[in-house]
Amino acid sequence: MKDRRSPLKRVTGIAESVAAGARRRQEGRTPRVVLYDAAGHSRLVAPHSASHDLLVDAAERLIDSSPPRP
Amino acid sequence: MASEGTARRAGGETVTPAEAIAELVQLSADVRSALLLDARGQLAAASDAEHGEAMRAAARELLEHADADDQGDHEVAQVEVTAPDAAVFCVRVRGWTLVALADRDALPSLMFLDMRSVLAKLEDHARGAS
Repeated sequence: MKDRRSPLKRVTGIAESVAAGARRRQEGRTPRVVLYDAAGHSRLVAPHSASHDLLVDAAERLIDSSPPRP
Repeated sequence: MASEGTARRAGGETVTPAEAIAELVQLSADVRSALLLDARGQLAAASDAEHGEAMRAAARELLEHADADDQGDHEVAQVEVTAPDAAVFCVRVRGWTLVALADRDALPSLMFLDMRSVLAKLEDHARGAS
């Protein structure tokens, strides 16, 4: 079916799709921290909280101290 | 290595912590490196001896922050951190702490399953706690 939207609306739609994709990719790269108790109950540590940042920093130090990838 | 403890299979066969680490690396294709800490937080085994001590220090720091964040009275049993380039998983069982560094896309449920399967073969190490 022919797209009957105006050229301006088509361009705007494409730009919005690109922006949404970039936003989704960015969200997908945000570090995620989950803690579990002994019963297996999980708790997501609030992103950008002080605790989240400390845990991510420590994890990144562990990653940095690991052997380089072949 | 700081610990010379052994691990026990269900059938009674014993393996060293180093063999347990080797088994985890073999079991999970996503694991890049792994280390095992004893009840005192000392390095029992590592997939890469050269980097083991530095990774141990960072892992202990991670676990201390996890315990500090926990609102309960008990230690955190499992930690999962998915960073932009890799994922870190920690599991504590009966005095042992198994730490695995894996690809970012590793499935947490499968990672924990594999790690627990290896830990199940280790004998109780809680008595080694100071």
